[in-house]
Amino acid sequence: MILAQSNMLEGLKDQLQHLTADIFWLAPEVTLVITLVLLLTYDLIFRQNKSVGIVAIAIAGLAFSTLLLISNWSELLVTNSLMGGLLRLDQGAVFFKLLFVVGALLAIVMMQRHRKKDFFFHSSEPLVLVFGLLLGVFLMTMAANLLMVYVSVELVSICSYLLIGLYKKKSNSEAAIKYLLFGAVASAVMIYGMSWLYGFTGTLDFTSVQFVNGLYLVPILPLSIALVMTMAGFVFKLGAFPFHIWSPDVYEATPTPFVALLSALPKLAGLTLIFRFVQVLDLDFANWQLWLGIIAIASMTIGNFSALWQKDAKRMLAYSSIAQAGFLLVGLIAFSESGETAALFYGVIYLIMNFAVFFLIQLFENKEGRIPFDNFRGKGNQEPWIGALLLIVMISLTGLPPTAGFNGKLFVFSALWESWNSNGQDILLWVFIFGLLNTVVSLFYYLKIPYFMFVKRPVDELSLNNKPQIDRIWGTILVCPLLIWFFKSDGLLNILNSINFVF
Amino acid sequence: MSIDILLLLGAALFCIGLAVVVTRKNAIAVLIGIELMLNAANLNLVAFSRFDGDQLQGQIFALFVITVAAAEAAVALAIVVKVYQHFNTADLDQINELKG
Repeated sequence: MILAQSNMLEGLKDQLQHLTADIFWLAPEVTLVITLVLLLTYDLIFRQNKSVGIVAIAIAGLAFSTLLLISNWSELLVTNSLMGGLLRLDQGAVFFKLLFVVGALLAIVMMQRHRKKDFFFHSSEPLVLVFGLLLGVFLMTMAANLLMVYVSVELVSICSYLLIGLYKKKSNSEAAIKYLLFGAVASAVMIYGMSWLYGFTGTLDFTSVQFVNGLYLVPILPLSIALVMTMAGFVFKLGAFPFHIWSPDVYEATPTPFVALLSALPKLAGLTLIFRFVQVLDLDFANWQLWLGIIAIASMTIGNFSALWQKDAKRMLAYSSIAQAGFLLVGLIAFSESGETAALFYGVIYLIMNFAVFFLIQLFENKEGRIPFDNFRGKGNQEPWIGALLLIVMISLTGLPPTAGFNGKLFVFSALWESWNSNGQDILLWVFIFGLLNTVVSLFYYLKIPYFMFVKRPVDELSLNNKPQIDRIWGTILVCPLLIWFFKSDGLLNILNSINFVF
Repeated sequence: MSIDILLLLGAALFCIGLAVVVTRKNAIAVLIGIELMLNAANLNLVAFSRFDGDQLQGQIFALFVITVAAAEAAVALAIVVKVYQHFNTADLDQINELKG
């Protein structure tokens, strides 16, 4: 009896030692939490002129966690199982986390250059929520356990609801309640599906052998229902076809820096979740290529055709982001090494394009925070540099040379083509055809903004932000990678190729 | 108690919750429906946890779901209050300023 007890204590001690050792690998996340707490306390202590301190703390926190991530990257050789199997850290996860930090930094830059800058920095609330969201997406990329998946998805979701509802306007509260109800239903469906997966296998760790073996014993119908329900939550985060209805309203009402953040980070994190889940459960009975192919085709088609009729730039970009979610999935559908690399490459390009386009259209925001197309009328002659940058970004979003968007689409679709040649599944060919046709369709709405800028006559004088010089510099910095990676993408591809993205 | 009864009860709760979400127009009623769906999942998790002798992962998961659901409900009600201030109603059909 006593012996058993001391054995158990030894085991516990061992486990605790493992946990404290794991903290070393989780230092970037710990930094984020500390920054969050610092922001909160700073807000409580100081009364006036908080904006400088808030920005300084946020930037310092992000910079420090970047350093820690880089040291993780160089020291990480094999996939690490952390916190008793709740998390898995591999190079792919570290790479995505670096991307997310870059995204958060760009969002802070956008807030700085926003017309109503005071709103973002008069208290620390917006940045605290941004850091909460960042922590959530960090955990999402590492999650190896259904419990962790649920908690991180909810962390991201709740922070997003609050970010949308933070701005005290009528349309914001409407967008927030729509997003919240939709998100809550999606996560309830997801958790019900997860409860069945747990029942089938007796474990929550979806990377374990027990999980996969357990699923083989289950009849096909209940298994499909459970898997589809679980996927619903991931697809909601990705913002793809059946769960895309919230995005236009949210994008239209929310301040532009938050839209840029919400359209990039949770989308990519959702993509990694789908990726890992599908890779681990690459089974005969679950025909992922068919299911994901249908989602991709529907997202691309619905997103592109709805975008054609929009009158507001942000609303148009919302539909475009639904279509982009479809293109992001195409790389996964190929189910090959080159497909993975292509999807990663497209993800990187998508993040940059997304922040560039939102940064540039933010300059044309009117006092209500809306960006109808009329705001762009004749602005190309006043601001030729900004106009040229916007034209490049739009060409990149369409996927034409000479921009990196073309490379992204090329890699993704050539991986798909190879995969079709080797296994001949019809759905792959359909995805290919629809993807190419949709690229043509997207040309019409993406080029609408440059058309308004350069061809239409100006009607009223909408003054741009003060100090447009700084905007020009930031815009150029954001657009440069899109041009550089078109001509010289092998450097980035080498890095991406070295990442082994499967658990 | 046989596990079938628990699972059937869970499935029934889930369906009732989903029906409430789809049919009711009041935001608070929809939130109640969501709560039912979450509790259906909880019931399943706790029921299945019986076969997971050492670790009781299902029960732990259920505790997390309860906590997160409480946080979500707090945020949701705060947003509903804000919506009510602007629109003077919590009827989702009348909250339709954003369209396109």
